[in-house]
Amino acid sequence: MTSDELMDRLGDGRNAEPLPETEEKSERFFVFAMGDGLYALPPASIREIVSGLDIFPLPACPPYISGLINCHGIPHTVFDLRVLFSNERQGSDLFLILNLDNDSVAFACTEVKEIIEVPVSGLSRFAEKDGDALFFSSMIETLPTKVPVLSVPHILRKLETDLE
Amino acid sequence: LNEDIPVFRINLGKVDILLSAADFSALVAESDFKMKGGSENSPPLLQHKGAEYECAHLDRYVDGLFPPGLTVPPCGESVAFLARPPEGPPCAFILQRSFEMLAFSPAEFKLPPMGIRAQLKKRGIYAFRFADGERIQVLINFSASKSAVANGDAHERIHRR
Repeated sequence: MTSDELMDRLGDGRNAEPLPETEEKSERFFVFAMGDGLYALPPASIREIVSGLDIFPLPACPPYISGLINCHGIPHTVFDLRVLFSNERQGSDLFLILNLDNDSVAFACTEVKEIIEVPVSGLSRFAEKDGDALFFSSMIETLPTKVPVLSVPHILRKLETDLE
Repeated sequence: LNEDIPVFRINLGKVDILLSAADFSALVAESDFKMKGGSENSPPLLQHKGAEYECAHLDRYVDGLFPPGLTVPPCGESVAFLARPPEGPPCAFILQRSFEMLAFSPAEFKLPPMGIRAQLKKRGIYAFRFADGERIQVLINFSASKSAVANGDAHERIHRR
């Protein structure tokens, strides 16, 4: 049996029938809670979930910056986005460590929920001029409650602007 | 390049301040210096062996950095850290807290996260070190505390003694 024959037998999909064009594309999202609200992020934007770390307060930062955590010896800036969105502090010690190339950032959250697959038609997009686009990239419409998808670049830009 | 960096560790309670020993030319006990002047518009001067140093109060600077409850109040006798920066006049930093001299590898110091690095640097915070994996130690640049005094930022000027 040649390697091609073997691959065919194993069903690597090379000769498989193309997907019907009617099949809808979908996107995956990591859903989590901050206080009583649900939010989502693309799974690839989260590197790690850690808990039980002390937050060290930082001087001269906006109120939505809770402080600093020590994650594997690297200081990470902790965002409490509930302060930014609804002026309520979470008081949580659960952190989503973001997967960023040039910064070390964690989002505080209160509960990790699930990873879900959402058909593209189940997402509503924000226009750039839309005020909600300030911190969200889209809204998941398929769950019992609408779940905003956080826009990490916009949130980081907010801090940059506030510190200028 | 990889030699340990000598630092003064100042125990503030729940946080430590680290000062690079290389930033200072001498330490002087309270009995060996005198204070002179000090007003709204001019910093007090510390006199030691005939020389005068512009003076800043390190305790008030660090108390201005961190929220109440994170630091213990100053106590004990004052010590003056004297510095002769390459630019600017000689200056002195008064401290009323206990401290010790230690040395750490440069690799143990971590820069602040990029997004807040410039902001913290403005306040004199240059790096962090995590002692025993838990306790945080903050490396500050003494010249930042001096400029904070000049700007009336973070703490008040020391008063005539």
